[in-house]
Amino acid sequence: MAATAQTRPIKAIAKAPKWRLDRVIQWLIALAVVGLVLFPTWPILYQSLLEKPLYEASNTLSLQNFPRVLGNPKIWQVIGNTAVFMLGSTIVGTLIGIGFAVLLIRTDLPGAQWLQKLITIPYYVSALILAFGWAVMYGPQGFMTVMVREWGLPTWNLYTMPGLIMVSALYFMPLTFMYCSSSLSMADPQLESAARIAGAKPLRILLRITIPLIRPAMLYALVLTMVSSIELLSIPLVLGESAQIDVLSTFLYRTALVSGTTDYGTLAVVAIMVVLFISVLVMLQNHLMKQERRFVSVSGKISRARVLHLGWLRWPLGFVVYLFAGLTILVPLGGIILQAFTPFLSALINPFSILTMDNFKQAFEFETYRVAIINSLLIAGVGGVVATLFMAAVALLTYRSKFPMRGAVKYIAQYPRAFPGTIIGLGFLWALLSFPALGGLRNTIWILIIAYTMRYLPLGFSAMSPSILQISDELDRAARVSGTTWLGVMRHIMLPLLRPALLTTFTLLFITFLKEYSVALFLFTRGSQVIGTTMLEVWAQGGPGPAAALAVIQLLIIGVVRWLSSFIPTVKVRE
Amino acid sequence: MSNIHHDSAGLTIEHLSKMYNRSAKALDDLSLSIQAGELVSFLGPSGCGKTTTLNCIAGLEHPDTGTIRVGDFVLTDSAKKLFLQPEDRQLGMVFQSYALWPHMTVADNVGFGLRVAKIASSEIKQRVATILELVGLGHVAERYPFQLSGGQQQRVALARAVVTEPRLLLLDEPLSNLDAKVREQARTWLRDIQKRLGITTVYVTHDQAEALAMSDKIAVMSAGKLEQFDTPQAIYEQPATRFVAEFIGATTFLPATVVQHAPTLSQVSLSDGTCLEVRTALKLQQHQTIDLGIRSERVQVATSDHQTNVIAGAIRSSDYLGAKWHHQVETTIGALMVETLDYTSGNVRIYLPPEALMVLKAA
Repeated sequence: MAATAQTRPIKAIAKAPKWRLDRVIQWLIALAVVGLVLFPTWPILYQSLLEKPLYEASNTLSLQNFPRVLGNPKIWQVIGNTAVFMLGSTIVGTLIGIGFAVLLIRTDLPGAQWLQKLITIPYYVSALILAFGWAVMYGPQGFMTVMVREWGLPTWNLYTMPGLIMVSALYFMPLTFMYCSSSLSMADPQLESAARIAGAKPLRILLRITIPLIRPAMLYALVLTMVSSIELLSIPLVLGESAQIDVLSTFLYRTALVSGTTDYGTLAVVAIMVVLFISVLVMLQNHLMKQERRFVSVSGKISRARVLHLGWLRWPLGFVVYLFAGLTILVPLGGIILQAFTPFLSALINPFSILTMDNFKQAFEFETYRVAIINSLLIAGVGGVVATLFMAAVALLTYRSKFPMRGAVKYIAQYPRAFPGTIIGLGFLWALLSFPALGGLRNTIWILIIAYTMRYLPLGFSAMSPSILQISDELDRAARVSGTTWLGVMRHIMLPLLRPALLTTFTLLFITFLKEYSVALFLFTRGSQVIGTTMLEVWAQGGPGPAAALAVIQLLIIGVVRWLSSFIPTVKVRE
Repeated sequence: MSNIHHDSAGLTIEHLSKMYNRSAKALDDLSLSIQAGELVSFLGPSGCGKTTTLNCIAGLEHPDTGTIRVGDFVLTDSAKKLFLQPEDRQLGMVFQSYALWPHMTVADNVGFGLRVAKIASSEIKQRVATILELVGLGHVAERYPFQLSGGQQQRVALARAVVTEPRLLLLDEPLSNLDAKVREQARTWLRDIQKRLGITTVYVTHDQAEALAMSDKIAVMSAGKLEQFDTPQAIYEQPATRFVAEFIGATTFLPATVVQHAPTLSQVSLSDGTCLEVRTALKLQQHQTIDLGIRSERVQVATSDHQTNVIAGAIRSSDYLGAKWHHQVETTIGALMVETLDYTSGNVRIYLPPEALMVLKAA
């Protein structure tokens, strides 16, 4: 074989260029993150120091908003309600979640695999739809309520604080269940074997070894549930309205949008209080996350978990668990579906004798509904792609570049975790009010895409990070030495390798964007409504039928996307 | 196969320093120059700065001060605030994990640098084929990295590093992931290819046998400093510092005082009064305290011919190493490591040849 000498043309590089495209792009990404996070947050901070609404010209700075709000008994009543709601739904939700985790992962309960699928359903369903489902079935005129009343048995009132807590707890329960069950199945089985050798009986091992081992996961889920319960708008809004139970999220929504108030100062101060409180919880969460690594002995391999035999209790217990899951998950969901296919749903008439497609016809014929569905799909699809790419860029900047302020960028990108959707909506609304030049955005779905991207920046970032960290950085270095710029490495090496992670993140964001409405409530106008906002409007106008039809359409889309996403290859990068 | 000739240039490093944080120095004023076509190993324990040096040459790390040049081509010069990005340096590098991109075929991996340099695809095809033939992997061009054995992956990594005809070849412990048997073959093979290409090569390793066997010169490093830079023979036989003597080979150290210096044979005395003759080129002062070092394989069991430099001792323990025996010998001057071919036990008389005693400055 003859090899001819082909020396490559050596570029005479006198000196390094003053600026590189790499750095310019890195700066643009960093500035986009800072801009995105500051845009809705500064108006709230600024407004809290202003006496009049921030769009008014003659304004003075003062601190008087703070004492005024803190002296307002109505605010304290709302805070009290929120505290009760938060603690109640967190405690009940966490306990149910832990119970399910232990029963399904560590005992021989019959049909555990099916049950596992069943009880994680609320996690994938919007809380709004769940609230509708409960109202339709267990509300004062609900199907189940009326049926029980017909039997002459005492009934309940769902539109009370315990009712709110119950429904929210069931919505949050899958969080705890998922954290605890993965922790349970990852814990090193040798620790339990050691206790067995030491003479402990299975039940004792469960109580003294197994459950203490998953304590970090339990604590983490607990704090996460607390944060979610403060942010939650839909369930208190739908179920708490008639009883006038106001929590912070509904208070912000009602004061800002329904009452037509100009007391922006109060809104800003309340928003800041909420953000500060959640910030503390998020810090606690981060702290727990660090501890978890030290605490749990994760062996990496999935253990063949030693199963606790329930004995004669197996079937009775199984029956109780299935009944509970059926009544609290299947019945409300079945209710909303039945509602969608009937003109009215009542225990007094066999619903299957009055089946109709009218609600769906309305949904597709009425301009308002049709636009809402199209908008939601556009936001989830187009917005999902844009957001996924942006979040990938942010994650790559923080983990795979030498950008000097990458640490700060990472921190800022995580910060939206402390902002509930209502406050983000409020912030964007005020930001648009104070920049009249941007008013054009307000009537488009783009402002929603931007606001959603801001809200879920931490979600996308943390969905992307593990996959990035898994790829050895020698692959980047090898490409750099081979003559590629940082951008080239991202294009030719990182993005192709991250393809599965990008798809997974896109699916996650698609579903999340499709369900999101609390931000949109503050920002939508005629023409930019989404499924969630339209469902709430229709529901409030006394039309559960069309609202249920919209809910079913949303559920259907989520179901299809989840089914498609199961085809995403999860093979890890082999090196 | 005809030889490929390149205009190869040497590497010059001057006053290279890098702090890791405010107190820890990763590199402390490192200067050395490598001749064109030479293979130089950077050898030292982990954390000695050898990998940092390599990364500074590659542009993957930013030195605080110093210059690095290949011939006249300046890679980095802190005084002129010049720092070329890795992609602008035109180097080739083989990584410890090989760093083959898993989503590209072998041919795509090897051709990547050529594609980036916007070379015509017909030429890329031909050059990739040529280089894969050279490393003996023409038949796996269309496979993916995970379908190859470790040894094959390592050869693909080398092919990828040299296909662009780089100014320098950088090797970061390229053999450390191979099995012991494959590693020895790979060593010979790698050295052969490097000589054939005539490419100036920097080789980072913590394996002394590898460095001794492959290098034109070895740079022994410790705590960010260059301890000694010389040929393998000189490094082994005339270690400049106690660290070098200790890091390479099994060495026993004996503190001593110079009694009388002579150009050929000097007299020194050990702590217990034992007198030894030492053959060294170093100039010694009378009463100077020094360290004597002796390799275990140079220590002999004394015969009746030996008059001087003989010490009495007793074997405390013996390990069988296959080709030889390794003994711990208790003597009046302390514990000595001794190697013999045959099994020995009990009381022995030990001979320390004057030319085998290495003189090192006292620590």
